[in-house]
Amino acid sequence: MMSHALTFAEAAAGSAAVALILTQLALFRSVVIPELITLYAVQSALVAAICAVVGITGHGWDLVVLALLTAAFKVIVLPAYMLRLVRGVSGRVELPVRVNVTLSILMAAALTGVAMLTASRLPLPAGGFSPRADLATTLAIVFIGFLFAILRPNALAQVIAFLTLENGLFFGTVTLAPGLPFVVGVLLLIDVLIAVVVFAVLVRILIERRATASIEAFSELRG
Amino acid sequence: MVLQPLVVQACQVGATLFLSPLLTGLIARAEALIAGKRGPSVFQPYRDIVKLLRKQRLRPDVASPFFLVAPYIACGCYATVSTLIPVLTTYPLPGATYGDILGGAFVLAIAAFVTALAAMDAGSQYTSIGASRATMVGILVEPTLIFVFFSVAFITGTDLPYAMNATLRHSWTDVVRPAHLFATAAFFLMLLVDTGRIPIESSSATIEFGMIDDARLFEHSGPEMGLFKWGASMKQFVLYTIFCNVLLLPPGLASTGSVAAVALATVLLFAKMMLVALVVIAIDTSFAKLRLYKITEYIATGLLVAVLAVFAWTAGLG
Amino acid sequence: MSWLSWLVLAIPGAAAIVSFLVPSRFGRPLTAVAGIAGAAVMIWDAFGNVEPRLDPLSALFLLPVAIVYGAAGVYTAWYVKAESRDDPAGERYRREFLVLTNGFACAEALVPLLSNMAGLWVALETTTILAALLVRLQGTDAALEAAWKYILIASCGLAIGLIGVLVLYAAAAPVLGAHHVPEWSAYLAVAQRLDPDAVRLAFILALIGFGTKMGLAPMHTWLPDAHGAGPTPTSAMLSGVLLSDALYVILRFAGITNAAVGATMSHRLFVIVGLLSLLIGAFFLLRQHDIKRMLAYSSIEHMGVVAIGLAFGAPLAIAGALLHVLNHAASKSLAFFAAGRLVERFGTREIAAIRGGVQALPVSGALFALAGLALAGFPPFGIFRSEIMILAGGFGGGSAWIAGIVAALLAVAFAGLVRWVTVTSTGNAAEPIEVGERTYVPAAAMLVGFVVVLGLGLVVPAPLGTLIARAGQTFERSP
Repeated sequence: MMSHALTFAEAAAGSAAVALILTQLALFRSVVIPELITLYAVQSALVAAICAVVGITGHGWDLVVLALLTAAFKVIVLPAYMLRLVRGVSGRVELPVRVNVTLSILMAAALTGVAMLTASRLPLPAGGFSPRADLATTLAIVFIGFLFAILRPNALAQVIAFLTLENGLFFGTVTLAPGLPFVVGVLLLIDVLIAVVVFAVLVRILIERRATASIEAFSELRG
Repeated sequence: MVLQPLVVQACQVGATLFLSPLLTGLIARAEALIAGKRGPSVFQPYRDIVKLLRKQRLRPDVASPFFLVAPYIACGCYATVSTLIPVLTTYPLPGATYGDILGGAFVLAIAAFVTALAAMDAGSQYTSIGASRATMVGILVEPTLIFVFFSVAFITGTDLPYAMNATLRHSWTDVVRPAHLFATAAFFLMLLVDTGRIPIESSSATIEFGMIDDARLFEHSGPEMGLFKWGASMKQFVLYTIFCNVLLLPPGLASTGSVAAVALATVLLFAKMMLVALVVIAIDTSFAKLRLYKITEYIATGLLVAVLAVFAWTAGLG
Repeated sequence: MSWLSWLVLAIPGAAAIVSFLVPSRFGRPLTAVAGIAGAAVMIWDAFGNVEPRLDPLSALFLLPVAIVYGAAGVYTAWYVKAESRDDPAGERYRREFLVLTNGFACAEALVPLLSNMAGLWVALETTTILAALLVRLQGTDAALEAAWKYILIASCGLAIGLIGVLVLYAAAAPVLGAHHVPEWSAYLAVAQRLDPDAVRLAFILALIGFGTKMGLAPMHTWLPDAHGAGPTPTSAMLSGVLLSDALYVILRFAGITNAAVGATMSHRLFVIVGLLSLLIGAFFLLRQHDIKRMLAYSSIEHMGVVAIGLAFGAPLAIAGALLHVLNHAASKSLAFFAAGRLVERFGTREIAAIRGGVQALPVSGALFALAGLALAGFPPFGIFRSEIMILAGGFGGGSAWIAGIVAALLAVAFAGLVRWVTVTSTGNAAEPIEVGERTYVPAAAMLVGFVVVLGLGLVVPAPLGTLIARAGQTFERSP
């Protein structure tokens, strides 16, 4: 039974890691876009919180500023913007489901297991906060995000998958490499901003042309 | 004044028997207050049970005497389980070590089995449907609970509830281990199922076609119905106790046998349980009841989270 | 970075800003001038003596940017007008095109100049975004689909690449300190003291992630769409430069990995993705009926060849692989430009519909035919030289089986390319295709690539040879 004294930040990071994996799994629960957007907001809030904790416990106040920026942008502005975008799509957007919920959650859990295994095989030095659990979380979020993008062939769902991916990366950056310059964190934010703008442009065009946001419309280019 | 261990054990069982309706009443009152209504008195469940105990006993023609005996067995099981788990004290009381947490789970399963049998015995459609649904749900919930208990056993190195509580109390770092957090989350999901809350069942309204637990009780009346309702409160109390004292918030139990300590422990126990209840009520008001076939998805999710808990432990994530 | 490197960035950057502000009839010649000037400055920076000098690998990978930007600037100036026929309504489109093209070139030039691993990631992500905006610019359904797939797959790949950066950072933190700057040179210096498993994992993640941007199979699925459905100058810049930019990042990781755990792992992985890319590229090339998609698959194939050259490990093979990057940039941009000219003249991208290219466009058509031959590996073009160098390195270095398979697959690609080129170039142009070049501006742009690929086939200038050798040594070094 291994046990060593955990600092508050480490404990917070570990708890946040578990909560993030659970929110990522919860993506598969809903078939309506606004719920997904809300889930994304919750996830972003968690990530911003852990960033603030890391910053406060000694890694610099720039991280706290970054946390506030993240919270303002990803928890408030971005979900509001996306909800407005969704309302532009006619009717209630119910996602096409390629694989039923139980099986998809099973696959997601299997991928989480793979992520945990991969992280455990690394004798990572203690360069961050319980690095193994955090790396497992980052990998798990990325894998599950990919799975979600594959199993829900809808443009808006894929955007959300991509955004949760960025959340996972942000979490990984903050917990595994808290010394990375503040600039990189801000650039990650700007990156999300620009990517979403581009996505929004494309989605709007898609909706205009095909009156649907289903990716099934994207099947022209093959071979 | 220091109480003898046997007396404290009696207090534990007594708490389960006589204070569980109070928990039910408190939850109902809190729910109403949050919804902006005045709500029933917190002692209402007591009045309901007493009223039912005084009513006439009816039995369907086709039912056997077992129909009348079942409620007593169920209540007895719930009372028994309460001797195994750390309700009020940190030190094991007499009779606490004759069963571990798995044994407790099995005893709870006996209660469920007996209730379902009685429901089938009644020979009515509603009760049979209720029994089959409840059994189906129970089948899916069992493995999840076992995984949860296993992961906590891995972390604490024991599967006796008192020892689990002691270990977790001494190092709070064990409580925030990823494996333990996953296990707690899984148990919480199963808690919602076993106590019959949203998103499994609607606790405030009776929707006959969607009922699971309550449907089993349709044919019972009078004292038996009263006992079943009491038993449901006891089951809720026991599950909440396991969740709080073994999994989530281990501190707050009496370490000596003095009256003051025991009384304080009781108050703290209720405080902890109300914290959990608040979260449950929040979920109650935010989500809708799941359709029947989606319940299996929900439970499957819980099972997978529990599996992840064990996996996190064996993968060395801690 | 030296002031010269800043100038390298400033030229396309300033061109982008100015193109935004002024009408496109000024923006177009400005882009052309910026292209030529930028190319000249880049070559100066690569070979010159301005302090602080560029690392050899950075200098080498600045050259494809020079080659392609120089030509693309001129070509874009013509293309934008030809596309939208100079009407006022198309003004916004033209300006957007010019701004994005110059901006894209600036971002592409930024990548080789950086050695901060996190900065590299940011620069590549920027190129992804700009490229996606360019690809969708023409507004067709196909363009939209291609842009969507591109940005989604590329961003996901970059996400994996970022995890690789993070793993490397976490591995280096105990040695370099928790707040260190992830400079490549610093990592290389302490490579021996890094945890080997973490470095291996970082390399695998980097290869998968940045290999997505490079078009290595099996992460290549976005490439035929994006390079095929986008506007021609964008395709040239994507195929010629962005793929080599991604390779630059991978090579930085490979250098650290080779220094830390030896070269075996990186070689094995390169062989796997290289062979897969070569296989997929060569065979899919045969069944294409869209001229630009065909060229896109050719890019996948050539990137596979580069990867295999890097896998062989012998100095000759490595030199061949690096030279191949330059040759590919030159010949692929040439091919795309010429193909764009044909598409514009014939009004279709279907190969079956394009007949008699040489007759319709004497200079451009001939250049297309020659480009196809160059890509197929005909002597005396540069691709032939670099492919021979790679194969010789393979046969000599003991990887004879793999080299044999490579030769066979190259023959398949050869056959495919020669066939399509012959079909489109020879014969008579059916009515009512008009005959004659009408303007020689695009042809001038193509000449840049042509001269480079022919020149490199005939002789490799000494300074370039030294640069290639020294660049190879930055990453291919065992502990």
